[in-house]
Amino acid sequence: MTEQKIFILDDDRDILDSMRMVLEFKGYTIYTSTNVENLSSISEKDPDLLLIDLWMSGADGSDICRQLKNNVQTKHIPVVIISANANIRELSQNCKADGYLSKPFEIDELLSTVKRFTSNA
Amino acid sequence: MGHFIVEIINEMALRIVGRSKEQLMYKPVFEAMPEVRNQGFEVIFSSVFKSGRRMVIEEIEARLLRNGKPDTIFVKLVIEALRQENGNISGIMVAAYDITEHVTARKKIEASELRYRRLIQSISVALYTCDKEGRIVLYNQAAVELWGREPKVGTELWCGSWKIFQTNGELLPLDRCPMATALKYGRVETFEIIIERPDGSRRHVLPYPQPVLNDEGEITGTINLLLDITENTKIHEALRLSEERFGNIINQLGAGIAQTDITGKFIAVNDQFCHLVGRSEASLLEIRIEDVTHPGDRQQNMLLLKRCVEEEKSFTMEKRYLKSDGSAVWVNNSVSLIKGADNLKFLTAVSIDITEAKKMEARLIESENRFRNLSNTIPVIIWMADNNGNCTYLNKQWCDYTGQTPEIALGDGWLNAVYPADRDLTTGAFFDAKPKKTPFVMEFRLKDKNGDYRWFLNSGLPKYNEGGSFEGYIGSCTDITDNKKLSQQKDEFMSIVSHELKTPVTSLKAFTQLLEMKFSTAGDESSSAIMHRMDMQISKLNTLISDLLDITRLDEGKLSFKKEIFSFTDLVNETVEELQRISTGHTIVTEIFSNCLLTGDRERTGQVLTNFITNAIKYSPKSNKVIVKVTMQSDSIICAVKDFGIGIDKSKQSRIFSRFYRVEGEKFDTFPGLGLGLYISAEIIKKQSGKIWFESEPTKGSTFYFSLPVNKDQNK
Repeated sequence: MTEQKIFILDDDRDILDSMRMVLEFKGYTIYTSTNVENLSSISEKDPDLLLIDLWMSGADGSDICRQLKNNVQTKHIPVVIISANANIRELSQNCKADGYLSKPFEIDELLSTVKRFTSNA
Repeated sequence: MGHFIVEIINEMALRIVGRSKEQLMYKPVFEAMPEVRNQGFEVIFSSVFKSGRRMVIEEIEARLLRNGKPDTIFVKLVIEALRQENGNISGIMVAAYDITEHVTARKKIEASELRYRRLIQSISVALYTCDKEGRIVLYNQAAVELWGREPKVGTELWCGSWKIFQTNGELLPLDRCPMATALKYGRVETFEIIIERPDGSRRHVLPYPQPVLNDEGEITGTINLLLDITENTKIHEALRLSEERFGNIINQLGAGIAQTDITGKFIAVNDQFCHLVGRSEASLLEIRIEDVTHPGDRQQNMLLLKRCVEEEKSFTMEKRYLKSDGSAVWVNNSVSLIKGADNLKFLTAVSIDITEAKKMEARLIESENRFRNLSNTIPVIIWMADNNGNCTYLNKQWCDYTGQTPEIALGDGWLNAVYPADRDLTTGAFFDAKPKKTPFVMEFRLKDKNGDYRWFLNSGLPKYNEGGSFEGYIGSCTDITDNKKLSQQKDEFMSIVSHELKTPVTSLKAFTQLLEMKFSTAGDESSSAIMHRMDMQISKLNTLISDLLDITRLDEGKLSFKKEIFSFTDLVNETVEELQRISTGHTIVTEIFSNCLLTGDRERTGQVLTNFITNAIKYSPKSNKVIVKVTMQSDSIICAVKDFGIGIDKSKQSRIFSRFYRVEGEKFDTFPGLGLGLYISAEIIKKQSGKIWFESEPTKGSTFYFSLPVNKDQNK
């Protein structure tokens, strides 16, 4: 199995680190960023999965998702929205995300979600 | 049949028929007297001749020529058959008795009787007769109408009425009525009586009984005339009442009456007038009307008096008299010009004390002023509307806020100040509440004079007048823009709190689980177990945060509900899958017997299901199975979550959906959570028109149910 690459976008450094550590522990290659100046920084890495926080200081996760999904070069990358917002399901659908994960989540939930979107790659 | 040839005839008979013996002897009788043919005699004679039976005709009329002149006589006839020795009938013998005189007399009486009856009948006044025993013999139609019934002739006594009363209201026995006493004692008494008809209506009657005497002076009966005087009585009664009433009014109001000459100088005054103006009669006769009139009313009063004299025009004015002690008394003063016999003119003034009424009026004005003052000073818009929704009052605040003048705003001009999208809602609230006369509350936006909109809470109350009849609404509009803003800010704040609280919990949870995993991988099971307990505490903290946020929203009625169509089966499967991932100790079994679409809030419904399943797991630590069952019953989907845990004690079952209630385990072995989960679940289900309930048996387990109405259109 080739190494799976996951790009995590969250403005909270601790969440980023905890997710990175868990996923690296499980053998994934992790790229993280606390904010996105341009989308090319994401596409450069050519990740197998994107985990994007919905509500970041200075950026809107759903906007980023929408842009990625409207871009020919990036629209194939599965996106999972992560948020503490109660309406996460609707919001993730609105921005054409492929899945969502409610904060706070169990590691098992994170792993099974990640697995679901990377197993076909 | 024989020809009835006269064989024997005596002198008497010849006299009766007015013929000579030669004219009749040996001649057939009906040839000798052809004029009596066809008057029945042939039949009578033949009948006796044939039957041989004797016949007596008590009275028969015969029209014949007597002594050459046509005449009518009445005769009594006795006819007998004459028999031969062998028994055969050979002829008849006719004995005739002249009874003409007798019959004529009787006929006269009869005719008179008939005339009498006709007379009685033709009279439009109630009239009836009694025989000497008092039995009613004859009565006319007017009597029937008066009595309201028809008496039985020859049986009923004294009067055809059922009941007779005296004018004092006492019952008058029939045998003591004037008609009875006239007959019994020959004494004619006439006094007013009241006759009651079978339908209960009463007539006032003046009876005129008249005894009928025979030649010997004996009473043989009565003729009674009953004069209906009800209408007169009514008029009298009305007159009496009105006089009484009028008198009372005058007395009660203390009408003072004064007469003056045309210059206003008192000529005569009554006691009440003296009392009214607080002066003696003697002192009043010295002065003029203007001297006792309040200076404020003097000019107008004098002007009216002058016109009254010049134009002979009566007038009425409200004025104040000045009492001798300087105090004023309000009166209603009616003045008219009276012309005496010698064309002397004077004025009559009737004055009624209206001080009380004036005080009431003043109080009313004061109360009205108070209302307007209050209404114009409180920092709230006050409005009134009539039954048709037309605005009849708006206080100063409305005009100050909207910049509308009252002329523009009243009626329906006010609606222009309402935010266009809120107009239907505003009028709708009024017209929905109006038929039921119920209060209403609604929120709308009003444009201020600068064109900016602010939020107002508009509340209307039904308004009733003193008589208690509904006459529209009175209401107020309170500026709630700041509240609205605050509430909005609060929502935003809660959202931030939610995010800010959950973010550290998320990383804390991830780190903890990572450590747990690493300890486990390294074989350090005891450290791993500690990390697991830490993780459980973090989960508990997370539930607390979520519950607190929900409860805050619920309390404010701000828990928002979406209306979306979703597959309930998919929701159950997703929820179960998610929970199964983190619930390693229990297997969540789904038994889905029905698949359908629901309309409602998918997220919130999933929250209830999650709450049910996590409770089932939480309260069944010694079991390893939870069953989620979905069935359909008529128009509802029913979801049941069954556990095999500790169950709920009967005494506590009624409180299970209340706030902050938690099931306690044995020996204070409490379970995590604030106990808000089921309360929130119940609210969520109720808001979506569903039902929530449970069945539980201690130590055996519980089953929690909720049902939600199925979207029929979507499932067709």
